[in-house]
Amino acid sequence: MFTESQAGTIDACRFCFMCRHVCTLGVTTGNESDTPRGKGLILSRILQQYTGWNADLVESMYRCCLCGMCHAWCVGGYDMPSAVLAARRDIVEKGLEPAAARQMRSNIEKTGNPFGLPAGDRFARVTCPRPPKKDASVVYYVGCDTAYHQPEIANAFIAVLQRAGVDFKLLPEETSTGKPLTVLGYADAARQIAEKLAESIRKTGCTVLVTTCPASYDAFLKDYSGLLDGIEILHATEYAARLIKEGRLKPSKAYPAAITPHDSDFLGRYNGIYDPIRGILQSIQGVEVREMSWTRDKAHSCGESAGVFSTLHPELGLMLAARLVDEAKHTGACVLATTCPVTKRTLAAAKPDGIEVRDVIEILAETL
Amino acid sequence: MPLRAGSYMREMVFSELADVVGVDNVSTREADRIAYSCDYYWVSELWADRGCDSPTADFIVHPSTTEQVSRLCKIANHYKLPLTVWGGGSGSQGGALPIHGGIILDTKKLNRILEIDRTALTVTAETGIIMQHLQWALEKEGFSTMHEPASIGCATLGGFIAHRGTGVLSTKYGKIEDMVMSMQVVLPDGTIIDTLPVPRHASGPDLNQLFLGSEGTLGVVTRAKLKIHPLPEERRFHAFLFPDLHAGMEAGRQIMTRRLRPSVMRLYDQAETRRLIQRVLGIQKDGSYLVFGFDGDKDMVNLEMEKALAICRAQPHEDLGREPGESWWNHRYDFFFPNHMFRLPQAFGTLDTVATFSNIKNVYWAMKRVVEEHFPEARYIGHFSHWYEWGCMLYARFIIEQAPSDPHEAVVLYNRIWDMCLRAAMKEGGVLNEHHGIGLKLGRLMPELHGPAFTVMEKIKNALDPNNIMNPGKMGFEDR
Repeated sequence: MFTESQAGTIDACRFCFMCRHVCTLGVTTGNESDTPRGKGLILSRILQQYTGWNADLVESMYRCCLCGMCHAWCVGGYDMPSAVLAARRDIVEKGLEPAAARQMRSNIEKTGNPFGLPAGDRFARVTCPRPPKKDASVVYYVGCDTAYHQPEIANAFIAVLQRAGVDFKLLPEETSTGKPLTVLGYADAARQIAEKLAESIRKTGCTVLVTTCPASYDAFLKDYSGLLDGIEILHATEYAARLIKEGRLKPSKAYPAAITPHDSDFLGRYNGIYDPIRGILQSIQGVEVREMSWTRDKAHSCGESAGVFSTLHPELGLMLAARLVDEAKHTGACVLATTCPVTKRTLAAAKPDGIEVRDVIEILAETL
Repeated sequence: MPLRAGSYMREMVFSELADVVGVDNVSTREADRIAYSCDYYWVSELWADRGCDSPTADFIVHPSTTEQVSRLCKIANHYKLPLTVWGGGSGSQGGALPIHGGIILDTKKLNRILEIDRTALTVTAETGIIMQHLQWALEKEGFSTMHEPASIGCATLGGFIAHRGTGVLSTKYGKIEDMVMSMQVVLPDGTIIDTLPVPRHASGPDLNQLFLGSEGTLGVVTRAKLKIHPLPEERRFHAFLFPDLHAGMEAGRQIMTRRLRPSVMRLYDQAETRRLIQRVLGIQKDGSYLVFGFDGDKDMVNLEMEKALAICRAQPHEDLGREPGESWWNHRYDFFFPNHMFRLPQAFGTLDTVATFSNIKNVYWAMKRVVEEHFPEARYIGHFSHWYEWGCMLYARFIIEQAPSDPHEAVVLYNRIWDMCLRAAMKEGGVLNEHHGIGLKLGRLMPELHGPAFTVMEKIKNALDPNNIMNPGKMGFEDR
């Protein structure tokens, strides 16, 4: 069930308190079982077969937002999110996952998105002023959250691509990458979806796959092992920053605002990508970048986890959002720039007062 | 009152607790009962590791106001339920373990910073705040509590108050009991009291000092006002290697008795020096390693450093310069992560004690002799890292590489080492503990340490907590 490395993590973390003050959920709830130490104590009992899974312990394993802050903080490099994911796979194998997890899986398998919304509506609000080109070498993977809940992010990125003269196409048969299934512990189901989606992507003959969704980006890079060989995978901020650097994109309108950038879990801590959002903001006239105290690999998390955490625990998602908004407001910025649709939506649900939340791609599109 | 799982009395108490803090802030979940069953006490870790029956609470509650704490104390008193306060749970003495079940009162939602007084240089905060969070908030304003223990990220302000904690800068800035100005305390019967607004007065005994170190046995400290300090202009370190512990101790003693005020001073015995020098400098050297630092205005640091260097250079020495101390400061918390720290299957204990300069070396050697003569499976290391005008603290440790596999055998051995070492320390003028507290681990030795004076503490305990609900079984007070 657990790899040697994961077992080592459980052994180390179960009696260690050294990251409790930075654990996103632990700090927010003040609850010991929400910390990596609490998880370690529980998993140690499971690993040593002192106890088996029950509803309480299962629930605890799904009360982790997998932000990776503990891993980033740890001098020893112990990776508790990896152990929690292994635990979820074990829970799923035993058929003990929460009902909400089953519902998400069912939605994805039936409709291609975790919300259970009609597959046919996926691009209903995504508009391309000029029709995408069929032989384009760039595929823009929109992602579920953007397509169904925040098409303004997709429309902004399409405007960016078209302004830069990039020929691109969407995938008519786009579905979830399966990342929520991976996060929930449905490894086999996630792989099946990955294989199907990867086949659609390969059939396009594209050389570049770009997405506005950090969870999808992480899925393509890490979960689609061997499925997308030869295709360059980029997050939209990476691609836009590249277009700006190459002179293909030049923000011409000023955006006079103090903006604080937020680093996504999946882009930042999981993949080490921090500079593109800052590069984009610095290229815009009138923008004053104000960093939060907690930034880059120590950024506060809003519980990205491919949308799973805020779906399973909406009340906790709001608490994380309030914490992030509070930190952002301390900078004095009037805009909080995100790179992750899930984060943006979770923040919006918290109804932040006194600070506007926008995807950095939306800000960029407005300045072109 | 026994609260059998599934009993309706358990449900009745649950409802009363939920009425105070809200249903989301009371837990009986197994996940929480496990997470609150083990603190940083080695025996509690051993018990968890071996799958033994760890003590668990019936309820875990998360109050967020002093008034809620008061109402919870009243409920606990009404039902005569044990009430154990849990801050960070990172204590090494078993002080936060719910050994008689009942209620765990987790203070971490009492975490607000209420006031920073920039004129008097004080901060008032609720005691559930994690100390590092308080420290970060103050640093943003240009201040510091100067309370910098390795557990700064693990423990709450209340935890340090409960155990008379200390930090690496204590030699200049004091222990927590020197930092506290005043406190708000909920007594076991729910009465809320405030101590006087200033800690120096002639208006009766100092009630702060009654509750400091009381480990949740006399009430719940919910709020404290602390002294704060401006961030120093300069902080500078210097390190020396002396041929033996005696020379290093003499240098340290003279620095203190000349009334210099290093913020940090750490002297390592030869066994720990070998390990430390290898780790910090990457070379093998024998001797006794001393590192100290001064902070404050630059010209004051220059002057004090000059005088301290002269004292050290009067002893036989090797001057290691500034870098080792600065490296230690920058990585001072790294050593407590699990890839560096002692852990199971090792058995280990920190025998921190304190004595005058006249006695401290005898205390060191007495405990070392106990370990080496009676427990060949153990090794003994030590350093002296909190210094006073009159003496210093010894942070001695024993380490056994492989604890006995049988938990009973392991605990018997463990307790025997503690008993013998601490009795040897007390005989030479040491005390049971300097900054970790007593808890469950050392309670049995409290009457021996205090003698007839312990009855004073017992009478206070009985007067304030006649139903013995507050953290029963700790500090050597009557068990339930």
